[in-house]
Amino acid sequence: MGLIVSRILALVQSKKPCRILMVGLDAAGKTTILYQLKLGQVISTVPTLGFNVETVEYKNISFTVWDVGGQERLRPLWRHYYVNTSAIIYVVDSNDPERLVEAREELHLVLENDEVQNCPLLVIANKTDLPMAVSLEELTDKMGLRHLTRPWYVQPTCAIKSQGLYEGLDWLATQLC
Amino acid sequence: MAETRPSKTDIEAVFKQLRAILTNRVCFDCSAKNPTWSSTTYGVFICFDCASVHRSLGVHLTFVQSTQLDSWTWLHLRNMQLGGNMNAKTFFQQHNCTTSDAQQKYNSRAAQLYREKLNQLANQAMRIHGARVNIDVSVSEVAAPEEKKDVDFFDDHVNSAAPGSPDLASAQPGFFTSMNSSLSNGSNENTGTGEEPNVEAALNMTPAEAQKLTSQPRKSTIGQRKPASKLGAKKAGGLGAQRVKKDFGAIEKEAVRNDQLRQEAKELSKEEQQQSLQSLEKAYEDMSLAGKREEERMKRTDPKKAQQYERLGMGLGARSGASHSMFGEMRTIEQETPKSSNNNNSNISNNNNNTFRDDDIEEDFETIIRFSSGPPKYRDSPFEDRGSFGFSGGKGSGIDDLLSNKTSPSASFWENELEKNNTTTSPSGVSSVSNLGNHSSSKVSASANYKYTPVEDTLAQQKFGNAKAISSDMFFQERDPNAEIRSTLARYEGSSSISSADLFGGGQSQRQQYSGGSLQAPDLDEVRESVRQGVTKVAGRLGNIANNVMASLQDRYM
Repeated sequence: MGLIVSRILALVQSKKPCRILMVGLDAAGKTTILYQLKLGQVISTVPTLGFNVETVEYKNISFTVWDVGGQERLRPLWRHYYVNTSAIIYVVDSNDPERLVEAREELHLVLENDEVQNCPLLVIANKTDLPMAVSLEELTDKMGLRHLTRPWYVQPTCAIKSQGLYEGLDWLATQLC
Repeated sequence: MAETRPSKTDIEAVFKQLRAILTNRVCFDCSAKNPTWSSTTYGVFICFDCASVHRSLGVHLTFVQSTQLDSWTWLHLRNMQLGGNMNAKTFFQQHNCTTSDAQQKYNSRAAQLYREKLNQLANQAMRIHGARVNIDVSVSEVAAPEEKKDVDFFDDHVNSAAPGSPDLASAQPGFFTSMNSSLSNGSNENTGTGEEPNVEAALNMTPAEAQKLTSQPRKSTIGQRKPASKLGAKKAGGLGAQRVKKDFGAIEKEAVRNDQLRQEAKELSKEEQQQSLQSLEKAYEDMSLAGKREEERMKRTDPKKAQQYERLGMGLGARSGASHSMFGEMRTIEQETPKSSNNNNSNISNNNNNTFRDDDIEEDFETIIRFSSGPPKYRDSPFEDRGSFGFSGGKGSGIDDLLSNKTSPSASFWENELEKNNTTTSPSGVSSVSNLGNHSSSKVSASANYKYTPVEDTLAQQKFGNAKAISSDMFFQERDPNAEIRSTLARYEGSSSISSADLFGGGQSQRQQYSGGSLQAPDLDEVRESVRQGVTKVAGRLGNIANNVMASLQDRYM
């Protein structure tokens, strides 16, 4: 009996692989977040022209995080990463109020795709330490999250100080278990 | 921002122009070559590496865009047109901001001032020109600031104190006109303001006045400049030296006098010169002549003409760019390139003639003589790069193409690069196009879908004012005037993050475990605080044990 239970537990607890797509406008901080999660330190990043992919193990989940470049002309490429994605992390530069509209439009373009129809959405409001950062509720409004039917979650972070990142992963973990 | 977005071709055209300027072809921060990124906040071109530095500073200090990978708004394009590496560099230098540390540099007062100034200028330009898709607009627009910059630059170097610099914003249009008139003195095509470059008048000018002045002469500048450039090109275009400027008035007179001499000299020199030079000169002459004629005819009316000039200008501007500000370069390029080349050739002959005939002239043209002594020098000199850049097509059969306004065979390196990028970045041309189409259409629909009533917004903002994280669940529950839920929410206000699961409670079967926990939570609230520590400890231990057991089991059985 104990053996059975432990085996079941083992199955449950073994690192579950999850494929996660991290997108967002350019200079939102995607790459910084990725390597902050992976290495635990801030690296100086350059604009991502292709993609970065790293595996981050957290709790009992092994997150394979795909970080794709966010320049305007690279955004049409995002769709190639949708397949088999378990969750979407959408990174927003909360210090850039002027481009929140653009960010919202891009987000909803992503969410319209069938491949990601059921994926939970983690919105990371990055750069909250900077002076122009909008409040969380304003960001939630402007990103049009209230109309979403899927589970979503807005996590304020400061990637260079490693604040809030793991809280976001916590939520993802609960969603993906 | 801008209501309409510039088309791809517009963007390319603008950057093609801007890149014709020498100073825009090195990184503003590190002087790396051929930067393809830009900080639109300062209107400067930066390299890939410096772009990453800029990005780390935050968009409130510097907004980085790729010239190839990003979409541009008109406002940003205006920023680039009105800015430019040289302008920014001059401004920073004037404000004693010479640090190379990005943090200091862009957090400095100088940076702030320049940001504001450029923003102001760009907005002004937007008001005047709106989102005119025409390249002509950008050309003329560029031209205007270009002129300004020219003068500034001279000022800076002639009077090292450069007192007028802070007033650039208001004074520039004035400079522009006065400069124009001074240039056109020789040809008697004045705008009617001042005969001599009048810095003080320009400084005293109100922005409104200056605007008026600029908007009118802007059209005519092309026409004015061309005739003027014939004369002035020797000095301004070819040399751009301080010495020339000091002698400006005298030289112009001399130039008028020497006009006829020059014509003769040209013919003489042609005969003397080697055939290659001859053909070149002829080509240039044809070009300039045709250009003149066209100018006079089409000055005010025909945008095509302007385009042609623009094309010509690119080659020229590149050359004159060495000593001028970027905008100045652009201008000079347009009309002066061919002419200056003519001038160079003719200068040689002139000089020969002059030295024999006229000692006074020789003095005045001393600098020119130096120059003329080396058409070969010219090729060796840094000018060559620019020349080849602008003229790569022009030296062969390209001039006709340039004049006839076809896409020039001299399509620059940049253009090619851009095209390459276009093809490579999109997985397939067709699909990318369709994507873009979808993009825009769906953007529209998206924006339509996501218009929110202000009431809702404020509601949400009030409700979530203190929340550190907000989730879908919160919203759904918040709408219910349910006291219980309120209390749940209240509980979360203190927490560092809020999940949709918490808020939904049992709403979704997927999260039943979790929701169960959250439903209990209100009841356990008080208990929880007291027991909390113990529970977490126990939970932690249990978790550890479980993990260990699992690990060992896995090792054994799996």
